[in-house]
Amino acid sequence: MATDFVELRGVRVRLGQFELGPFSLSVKKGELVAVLGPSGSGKTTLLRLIAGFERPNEGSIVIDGHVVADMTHWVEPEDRGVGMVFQDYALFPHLTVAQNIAFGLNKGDSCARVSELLKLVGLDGFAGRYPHELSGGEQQRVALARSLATNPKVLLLDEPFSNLDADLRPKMRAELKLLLQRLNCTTIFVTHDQEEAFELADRVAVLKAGRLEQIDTPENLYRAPATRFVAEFIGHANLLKGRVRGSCIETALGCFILTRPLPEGTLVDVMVRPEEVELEALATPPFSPSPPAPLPSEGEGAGVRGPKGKGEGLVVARRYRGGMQLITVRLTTGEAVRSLQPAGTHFPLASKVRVRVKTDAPLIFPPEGL
Amino acid sequence: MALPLIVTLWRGLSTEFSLWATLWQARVLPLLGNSLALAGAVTLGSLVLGVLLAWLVERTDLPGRKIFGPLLVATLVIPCYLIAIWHVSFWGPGGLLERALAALLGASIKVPTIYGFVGAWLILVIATYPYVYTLARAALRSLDPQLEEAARSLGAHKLKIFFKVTLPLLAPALAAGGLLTAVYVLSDYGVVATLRYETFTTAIYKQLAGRYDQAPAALLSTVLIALTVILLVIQQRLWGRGRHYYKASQRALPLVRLSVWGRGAAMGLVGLVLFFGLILPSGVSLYWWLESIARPNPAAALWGSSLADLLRYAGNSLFSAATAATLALVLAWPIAYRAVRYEQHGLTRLAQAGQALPGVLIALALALLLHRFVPSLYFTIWALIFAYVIRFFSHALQAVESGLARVPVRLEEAARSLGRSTVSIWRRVTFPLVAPSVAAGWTLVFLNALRELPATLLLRPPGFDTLPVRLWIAAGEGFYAQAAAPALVLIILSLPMLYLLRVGDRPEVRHGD
Repeated sequence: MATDFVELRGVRVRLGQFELGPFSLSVKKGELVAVLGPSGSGKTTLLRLIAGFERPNEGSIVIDGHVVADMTHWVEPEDRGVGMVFQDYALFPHLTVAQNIAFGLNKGDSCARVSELLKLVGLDGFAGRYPHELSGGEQQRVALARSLATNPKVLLLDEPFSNLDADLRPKMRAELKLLLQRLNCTTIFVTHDQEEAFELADRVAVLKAGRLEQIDTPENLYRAPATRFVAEFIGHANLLKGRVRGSCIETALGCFILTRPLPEGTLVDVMVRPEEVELEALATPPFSPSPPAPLPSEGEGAGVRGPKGKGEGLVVARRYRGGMQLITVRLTTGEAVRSLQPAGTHFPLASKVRVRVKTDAPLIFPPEGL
Repeated sequence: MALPLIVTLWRGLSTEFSLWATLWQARVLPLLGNSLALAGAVTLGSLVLGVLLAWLVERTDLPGRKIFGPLLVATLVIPCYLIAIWHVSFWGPGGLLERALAALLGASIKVPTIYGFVGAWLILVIATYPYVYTLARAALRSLDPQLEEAARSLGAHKLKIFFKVTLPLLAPALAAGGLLTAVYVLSDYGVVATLRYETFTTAIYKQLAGRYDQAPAALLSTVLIALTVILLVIQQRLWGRGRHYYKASQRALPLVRLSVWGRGAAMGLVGLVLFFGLILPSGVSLYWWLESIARPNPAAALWGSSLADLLRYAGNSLFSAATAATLALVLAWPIAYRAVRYEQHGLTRLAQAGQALPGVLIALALALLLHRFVPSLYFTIWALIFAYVIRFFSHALQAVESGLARVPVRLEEAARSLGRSTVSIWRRVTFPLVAPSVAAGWTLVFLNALRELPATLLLRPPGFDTLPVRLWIAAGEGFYAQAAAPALVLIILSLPMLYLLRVGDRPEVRHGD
């Protein structure tokens, strides 16, 4: 395996109120890494640190074996060989497409290189246009070509798809992936869209409030999230309150097997993926004159009871995504559980359902606030 | 509003060819040289000064830049003929500087003359740099900082970024500011007359006021209009082009750190500009005012500088300016409404013609018109008010338009769908939204009319003196002490302009030429 090509060691930066890090991150040559996190988590700051637009207060940044930033070294952004595609592309409005792409090139060899790049991003014949005459997708490709022109060691993309129409994104994503694979270019890109991160990246780094929560392959992030934030952020996992009793964890949906020994009575959160939650409609008499079933607050003792792995609740929300629907059920204990069901199945709002969990050895996390 | 323009052109072009031929050699060519040389030199000077100051205030760590920022526009509060007058009374022969030197050193020392090209150039640069400055500041602020960062990530160094990215992006603003300056210099009367530098405006004024010969005046005006129109056409062309920069990123660029020497030089420059534009004029006017109190002139009654007289001039000024402002807004309303709601801008363009025309020309045109068609109005206060309306109509129009643009039709429709009557919509939706712009427009016309000089001098009815007229006449005879009181009142009345300048950072406030 190739050695680390871009390396951040114990980097910490403070910008006014916001603090990023300290954290370490390494990217291998040719690797495509996504930085994923909600807005305000410091993703863009991370890119700007690598590009050289922000100075770290602590730690060091190494690119291709050269220290570009630490307490004693500083390499200016223009001398780092790092290409950056800005979120809104930052194309020079007064220059044509060709002039934009040639901006970082020497006069002599620019002409051939520009037409080569235009071909690469599929914009032959656009050389003489101005940025404002291009669509969002075309602007993005020009920005990409411009940053690739100088053969950067590392390519940084800041929310590359956020300014595109939703129906254009999948296409541009596929194109970019193909292009980057072909060029074997070390790339770090920032996104708040996990679908985007999972589709494109070899590895995904999850950021929360300036801290690196986990960096791993998409599969591992999904299967084994390191923190409850990652679990919740990726795939809408349910976290059920539970308490250790003997060799099992008692929750509103019944008992789960305890996978590692914990003292009796410990409070834990149990992660259950929506696709592991099954629903079964409970027969309610049609045209019932009575109002919908009473809400949970009534019976306080109704919490942890019933047969193994089962609970009852009311359907309170339904959301369609693709061929599936995400159904939120409010359990009699008051907790909400999301379940992923095929779009065809019918669970009307306010109907009563029985909730069952398919897995019995789920991941557990310490409860929130601990 | 375009009528004066047409009348003047028609009168100018219909003069006999022989007059054209004689005047062309004897008058037009030298005047053309004078006017163009001054306009070019002033434009260059204000471009350099305006951009430099804007850059210092916006992009460097100049100490006190938060205060200097607005202060550097505040020179617009003092009408520029006043700046010229006080500078002449300070530097001129027998002026305050020579008197002070004589008192201190006991020897009479001649200060190099302020009259002529250099003096006019200096005063006009001080008077016009705020146009460039405000536009350049706005452009620097709206520049997307990511563009410079993108250039850096592509390996470009500072000089290359400045010349290939920053400067081309500022170019539209600079061109607009430069043209504004050039048009202004062509239309200026007060400064060039005070500093005895002959241009088209002073020549036309002399023809009108002295010999009262309309034909040569109209002829010279035709040339001046042609010059102005050329500049305006260029301005329109440039305005549409290249204004596609936008600010996408909220992130501010780091400020440039000035070295100790750089900081010293920058402070020196800012101090010098403020000294010439604000401190010296206000200081000198205060001095003359105090002198007029300490040593009352026996001829004061002749100059009408008693308090009662002063109040009368102020009353005349306020009345004519307020009437003109109100009239301008009433007239602007239907045109603006048509332009905004039905997207018909033809009338707007035509109605703005007055803005670029020198006050001297408007006076001439009105004189021509009224003399011929409505002699009963000639030399009445209404002729004067009408001149103000034509001259400053574009301010009213722009204000009402921008106000109406803030009330999209959909907003009124929304109110209607909520069951409101037309009157109630007007009262509760439209008017509150338009009111600030209308107020700003009224104030702008009012303040500009208040300080208007050349048209007032030419069109006022006998005995109807305004503040600018009084101070102009007194200063013209060298009785600066008698000019001080009306000048101070005029400056104080102009102070609301500071608020307008602060609000919009707009270069719409003219200096009163």
